[in-house]
Amino acid sequence: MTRDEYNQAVDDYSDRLYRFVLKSIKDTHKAEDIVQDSYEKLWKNVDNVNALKVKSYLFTTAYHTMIDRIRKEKNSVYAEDTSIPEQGRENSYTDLGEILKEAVDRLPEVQRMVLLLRDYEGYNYKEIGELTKLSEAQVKVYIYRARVFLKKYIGSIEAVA
Amino acid sequence: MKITRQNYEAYFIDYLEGSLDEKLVDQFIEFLQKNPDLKKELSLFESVSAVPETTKFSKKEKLYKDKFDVENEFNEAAVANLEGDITTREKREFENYLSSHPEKQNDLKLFSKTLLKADTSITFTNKEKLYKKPKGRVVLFWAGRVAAVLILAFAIFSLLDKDADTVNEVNHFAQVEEKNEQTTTPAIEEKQETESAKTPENTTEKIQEPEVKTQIPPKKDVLPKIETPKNVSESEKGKTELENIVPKRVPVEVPQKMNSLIASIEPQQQSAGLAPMSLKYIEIVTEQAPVEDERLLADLVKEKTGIDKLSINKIKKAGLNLVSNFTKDNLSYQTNEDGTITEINYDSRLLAFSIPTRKEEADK
Repeated sequence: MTRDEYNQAVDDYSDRLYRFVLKSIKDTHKAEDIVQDSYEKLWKNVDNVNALKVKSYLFTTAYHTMIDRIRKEKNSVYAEDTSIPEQGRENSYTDLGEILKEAVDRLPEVQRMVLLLRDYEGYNYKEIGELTKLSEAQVKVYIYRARVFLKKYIGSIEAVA
Repeated sequence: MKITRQNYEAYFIDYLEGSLDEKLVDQFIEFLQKNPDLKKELSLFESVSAVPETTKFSKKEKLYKDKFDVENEFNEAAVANLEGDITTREKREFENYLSSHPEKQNDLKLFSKTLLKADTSITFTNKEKLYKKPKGRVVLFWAGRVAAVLILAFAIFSLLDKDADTVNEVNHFAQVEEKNEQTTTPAIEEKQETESAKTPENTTEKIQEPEVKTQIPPKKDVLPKIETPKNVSESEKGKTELENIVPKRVPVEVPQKMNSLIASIEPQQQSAGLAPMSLKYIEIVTEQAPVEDERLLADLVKEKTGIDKLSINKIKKAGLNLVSNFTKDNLSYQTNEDGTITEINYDSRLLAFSIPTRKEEADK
């Protein structure tokens, strides 16, 4: 991979990578830090990375960096909250996007990241499995559970609203 | 128990249903033979047969449970359908199920809403930190800047220097002209005398005398043209200059003294003597690209001034004198007896060379 190809990768993927990381860990500074860190690792291995696989390299690096940080920072911020909103609770949801955003935020990290890779980047089960080092069946299960949770969450809110 | 006309009905039922005890069969037959009226009644019972029910429950379909009625099955099929991960057969079954269960369409819509879309307004703003620029290019970039500055400075300096030179020459000419106006030939003769005293070895070259003669008179003619340099290119005016040159050569002709002048003209004196011509050519040369070849320069002079009557040699010499002025008199040339230039010499601090103009003459 040449320097020009590396710089092209900055143009092509830095925004997408940033969205993925930001949505996954919900912290702007940490997200920027992880994106820069991922590109720095890419630059260090620029001679060994195939230009055609640079996107996978970046997302893989960012994913595992996030997983490592999440494991280190187990306290609270990333705690799972998969509870469905109570019936009759007061809210002012008018936009599906807001509901969905809240629902996604309540997903477990791995489910959330796998789902983001699927929906944001369009990776298939196999690609996500290679990227996250999960089996294809595990990926399928995570996506299934995430969708069911989101569907129930949306349904409960819409039922209330 | 014995069969009598009071209890025979229970035995008749058992007989018709086939449940009559075998031990009573003989007794039952004997009873019928003794009571023929009751035998007739039994035959009436035999003609009555029960017809089995054929009526079916018509709403059984609603009672059946489809596999997609199981919540997990439905969700799996819905997600697989959403992901495009469903087989053709399953999809057909699922669609059939949905068509027969319209209430499930709502669930399907909710699943379709779980597809996430990236917010493209979120961008990574620190891209500049990620770009990698080659170090060599940066050095070259700065080197290019420095080179550009140097070239610009040199160009400005050379322009200023040229302006200064031309100004000096003009001033110089003005002084010479004043002297000429006051004492035309005596002043020149005095200079030539001093010059000849300095370089006696070059006195043999008499052929260059006319050269100097021709160069001296134009002082008066060319000086007015300095004020209007645009007219230099006009050929007709060049011709009139030529016409003016011819009559002025006669009174100035001093062959012996002119020899020494050609051989060792000092820079200022030479420029004083040749300046009028050279100024004229400066305009020509600066307008054109700087041509070092004396032939091209001569041709150019000839073309621009229209001096057809002058020989090429004269023009060459004039050109060489002009170049000599430019190079601060580092350029000199030698002629043969016919007045033809045989060799051009250039000597400066950095560079020195000698060019024979014609091979035959150089061989001589």
